[in-house]
Amino acid sequence: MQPLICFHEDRKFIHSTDYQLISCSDDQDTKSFLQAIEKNYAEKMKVVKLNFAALEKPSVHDTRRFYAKTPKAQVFVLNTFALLEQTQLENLYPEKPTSRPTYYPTVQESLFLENVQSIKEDICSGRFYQMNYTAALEAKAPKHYSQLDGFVHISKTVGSDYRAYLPLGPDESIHCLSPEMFLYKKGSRLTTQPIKGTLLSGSNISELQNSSKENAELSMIVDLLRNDLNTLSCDKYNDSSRVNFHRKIIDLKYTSHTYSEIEINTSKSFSEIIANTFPGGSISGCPKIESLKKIAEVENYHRDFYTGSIGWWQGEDFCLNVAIRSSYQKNNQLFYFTGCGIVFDSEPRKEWHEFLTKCSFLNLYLEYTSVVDTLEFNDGFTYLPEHIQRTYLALRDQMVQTDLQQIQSLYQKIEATKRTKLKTPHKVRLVFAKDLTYTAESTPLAATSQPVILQLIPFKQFLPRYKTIDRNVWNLILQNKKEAAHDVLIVNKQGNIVETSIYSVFYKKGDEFFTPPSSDGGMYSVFQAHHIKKGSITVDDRTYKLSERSLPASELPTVELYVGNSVRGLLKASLLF
Amino acid sequence: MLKAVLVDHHDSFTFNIKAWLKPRFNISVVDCSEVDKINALDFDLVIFSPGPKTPSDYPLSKNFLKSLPANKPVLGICLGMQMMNEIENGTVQAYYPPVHGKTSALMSDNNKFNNIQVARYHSLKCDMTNAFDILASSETIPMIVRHKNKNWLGLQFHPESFLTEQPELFLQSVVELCNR
Repeated sequence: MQPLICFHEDRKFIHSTDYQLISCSDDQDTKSFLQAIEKNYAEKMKVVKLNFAALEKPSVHDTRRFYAKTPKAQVFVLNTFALLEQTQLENLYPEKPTSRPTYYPTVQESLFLENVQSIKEDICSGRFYQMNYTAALEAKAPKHYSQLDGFVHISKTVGSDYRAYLPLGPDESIHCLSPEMFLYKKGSRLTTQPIKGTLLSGSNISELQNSSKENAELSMIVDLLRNDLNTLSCDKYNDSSRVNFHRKIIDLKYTSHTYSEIEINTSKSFSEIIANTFPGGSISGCPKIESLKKIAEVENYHRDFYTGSIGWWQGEDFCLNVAIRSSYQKNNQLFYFTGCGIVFDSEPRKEWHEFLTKCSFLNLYLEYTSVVDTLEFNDGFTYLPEHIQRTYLALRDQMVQTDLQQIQSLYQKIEATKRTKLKTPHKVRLVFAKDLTYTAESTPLAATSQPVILQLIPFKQFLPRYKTIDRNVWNLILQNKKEAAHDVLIVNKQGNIVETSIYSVFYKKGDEFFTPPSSDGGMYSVFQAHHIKKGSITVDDRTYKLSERSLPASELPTVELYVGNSVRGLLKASLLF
Repeated sequence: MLKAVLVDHHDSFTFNIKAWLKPRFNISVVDCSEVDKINALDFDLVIFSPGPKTPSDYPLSKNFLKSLPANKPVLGICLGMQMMNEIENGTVQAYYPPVHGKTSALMSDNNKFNNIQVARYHSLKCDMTNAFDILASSETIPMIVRHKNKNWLGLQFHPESFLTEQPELFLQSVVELCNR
């Protein structure tokens, strides 16, 4: 049978290839399903998977889509198993992953921001205090891709103490790298360790520690989980829940969080505990019932196993995680899910940043792809501050530990060298390795004022955010370019113009200039960033006001089109008919 | 042991209130849609729990509160206190910015309450009518109120939260309410 791996205690993993998988059908009551397992397999080691909505009644009018669709509760009853160390797992599965998927969010930044705004409005009206808002990312699995290989060899690099790999079918598996413990019961002692509060990439740990917003986010969930554990108070122990610690820091490689611990003594059974506490407070919201309603309103998909729980269960003892930082594979389709806690003082853009930060650990699965920067040299680099900023962000995006100052002094050094060598305008192409060593290539720059002829091409996927040596997406798009066109002009899923393969887009409408906002999906552009910040752009010695505005493809006949980049400046453009 | 009934408005903190009052009270929880099943004579205290949305979203609870005899000890927490105020023709309005999961210090002439950090979860605030005495406030928001003629105690903050200091002090106030 396919191997199953699940965290256990003392940094060991349950490993089994001999088990029986029992699933709860849709029309069966989850609590009685678990009671039956409790009765029939009490002393057997079991690995459990409970979906987010395992205890909810299915609604008839539900149009949300499924990315993953698995039975609401599943129990692997293990006939035999071993407790293995990480190194033993690596020896057992020596195959290292050779390929990696590229994930794209299924939700555009603009929709994400809109939903965060609507959640905040409900918070102001008193509907709830906090809601956990999540979204899915999707990818096509590369050839010979194995979630198991990644699980064994790469997941150890992130602090995910509650990780599990569950085979659900011949070509179906869950790969869960959760750092969060939901419930741990040993004897009568039941504890929970909710995580809330996230350090944004590029920020300092003290920002997390001192933030009243991040503090409140966790405090609310602590009160909620105190409540959920207090429902388990029993005659035998007559205990009330207590907070053992509050706001400890958990350091994951790609971010840090704060977490707390709450405890109660109870004699309640597994099925009762689940029925009273599910779904977990940290991934639903507070108050829970209203939050769950809102989740069903704004999230366009069923969470399925995501934000449910995975863990082990034997006798009266068990440990369950919160199934976050998880991906799901079925055939060659891959989905990854992540989310953020939204409170009143959430800034929608920061939450989007947090959403991306929590995805960034997917980057641990990829080989570093060298970051590229192309600059104009004309007795010094043009738009130098913007180039430094972009290279810094591009490196951080791939989890390279650096700061703005380091990049700044690096560029100053490069500029000084070029000053001694280059006496005429040149294009300089810099390629940065992970250790910040670089190569520089200079080519003389010939002046051009030829209009650029563009061919419209619809492209529904996401384009790279930063410039790297990986040009695969663009090479594929450019294959469709006709010879008469110089470049392609991308139209996104929403029908808006994005960018060309090397230029940002600008357009004149009336007496003003506009450029598409980054939320339409373009690459971070130095030339564009410079002029947006300035708020103006100069064409033929005349200066125009410049602002961000989407350009629907349908408006193209009514605008004057331009393209530009930091090396070639602004050029007139026309469409190929 | 005193007996209390708690009208539950689905705040997700109901069992924390139960745990806070446990040393002195046996508590029965009744859903806010089933208040007609409560016989107030069976209880020493009626509690109106916190909850989402506004008092006017809970007409059954408000009618039930209105119907209680003046000498019946009643504790209103957050939404519960806002209900009390509306029944006495006070107004409840949006409070911006809302305060959720944060603490502030009580300001009170009564030394017992002054300077105690209490947990706040509210996006509405009460403009109290003169039917109430304000015993403590915070940032001009009434935090502890007592009805002048009825045996009602209102708390805008959450005494059951782990963020509230000295919860036993407020438990004592509730016990005193029942002994009046």
